[in-house]
Amino acid sequence: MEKNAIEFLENAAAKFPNNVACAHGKAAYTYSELQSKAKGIASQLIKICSPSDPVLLFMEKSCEALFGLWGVVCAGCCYAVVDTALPAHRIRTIISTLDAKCIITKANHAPMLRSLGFAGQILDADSMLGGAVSSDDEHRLEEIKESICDVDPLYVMFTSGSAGTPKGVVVSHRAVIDFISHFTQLFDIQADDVVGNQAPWDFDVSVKDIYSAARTGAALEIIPKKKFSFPKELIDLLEEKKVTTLIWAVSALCIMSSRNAFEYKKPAAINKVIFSGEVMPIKQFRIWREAYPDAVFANVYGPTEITCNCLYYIVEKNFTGEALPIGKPFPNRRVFLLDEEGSLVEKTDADKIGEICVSGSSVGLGYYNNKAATDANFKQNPLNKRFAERIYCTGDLAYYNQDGMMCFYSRKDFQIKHMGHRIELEEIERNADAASGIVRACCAYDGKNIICFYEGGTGKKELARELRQKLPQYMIPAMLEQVETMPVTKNGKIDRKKLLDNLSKKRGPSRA
Amino acid sequence: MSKLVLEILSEIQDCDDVKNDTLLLERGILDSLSIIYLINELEERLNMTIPLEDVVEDNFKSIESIVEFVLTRINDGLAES
Repeated sequence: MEKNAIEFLENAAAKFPNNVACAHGKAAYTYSELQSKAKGIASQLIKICSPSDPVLLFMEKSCEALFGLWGVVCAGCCYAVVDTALPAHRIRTIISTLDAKCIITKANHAPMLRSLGFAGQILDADSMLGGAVSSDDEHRLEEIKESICDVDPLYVMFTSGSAGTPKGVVVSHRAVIDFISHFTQLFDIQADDVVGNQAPWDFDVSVKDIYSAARTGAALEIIPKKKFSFPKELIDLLEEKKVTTLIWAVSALCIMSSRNAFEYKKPAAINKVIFSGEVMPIKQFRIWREAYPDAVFANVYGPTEITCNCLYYIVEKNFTGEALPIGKPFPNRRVFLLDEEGSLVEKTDADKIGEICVSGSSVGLGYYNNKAATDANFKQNPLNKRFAERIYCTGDLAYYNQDGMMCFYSRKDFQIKHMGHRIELEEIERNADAASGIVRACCAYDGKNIICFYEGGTGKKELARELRQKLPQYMIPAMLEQVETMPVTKNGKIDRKKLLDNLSKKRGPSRA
Repeated sequence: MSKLVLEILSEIQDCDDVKNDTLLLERGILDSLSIIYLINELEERLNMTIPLEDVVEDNFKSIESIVEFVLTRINDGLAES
């Protein structure tokens, strides 16, 4: 059993030195090359950072970014991948939360990072490559590897936060080792598989791609983001690269199925399709199943805080239902439902709704530099009065069906899933409130678009500009709608449903 | 026609400084999600079908190139009927 994630890479490089580890466009590298490049980067990092220090990876996903990622891991540090397309304000927030000593990036980003007030070392990814590892470095890296405990942090992943700023979920080596071991066994991922990486790396779906490949010696085929705009090119790539395994967001799978892309070509090697992020529309699922009658299809569920997924449902061949269950716990996970009074919902209590709560080795270490949010969300299991058992309450509501499988019901709060991204509507509202001239704002989701209603305001333009400066693209409301006054519920809270109802009345039945 | 494309794009993003030859993919105005929105809106508003083989990078570089392929497609349709 591995005691840290460095051993994943070491084992792969020892057992499968000549297997392709990662490929991106025309570039491809073997496990032995990946390991030597990672060590080269690690030997430079250990002169700047101590074990467990955070290191920012400010790069587009690529083979070079993977060298950087494993370089950080081999140095015993924890990494946080930051999307270079994020608005400056958000990058600044992440930088100040992490307070990292160094950032690995491409040289052209350096001036921007400086202008955001980053005072640490900016390391150029290109010039870090090919650095020689001296025997002293080799010795030090070995020492660090010995000293890393599995409770040490492996990465920090930033997600939307209701207080108006993103939160950095800290995940340990143990969490990833435990989860990925079960995940690769359950779905039978092997050294001859080719994992087609769709997810951006600042998104925890990518953890399954990166570490499933490293644990098994499989190839990680990094698919450029642009391909997802052009289904035909995407299909050609999947065919050419002989991709077998898709661990994708539902919205990415739908890009192929909704445009009849399979009529053009069905990439022959695909045999595993594992999806998550939001509810899979059943019509789209049927198109996939028809195209790949022999493939394994699995619906998986879980928030970043518990490390990727805690529930899975392998779709039965004869499945005819209208909604896919989220299923049962992965091995070595405890997943249960608590009702409003905090009592356990029994499996036999079909259709009774409760909040999904998770315990086990893969529960995250909390939010980086944010004790208040950590204490509020990671709690003692209320059912266990005898000893310490940390659980994470997801805020997702679910129930058991007749077969004892969990089924997703809704959110407890104002978090939504939009195009696979997890968004706290309140985070958009706090930023809208801050725009000059806005009295107050309230956001609602109609299942397709985010709509921002606002009171007062000197104009839409300014609000739009404000949001664009502070929020990532996927959080920008599709519509800004001025209202005289906010309707309120009898509890005095803004009535989101009423806002949406009024809007659809105003818009009329013309366009759905 | 270019006005219509700009109108649809403005529903997705702030397009104040977008010209007919602005590179939409490079500027991040078009991505995997907004392209689907644009295609659906064009199909609905122009009562046409955009086949998969038209959804290629060359056709979506700029407003100019979108207009060009949409007009070609419409003319083809007229010639056939």
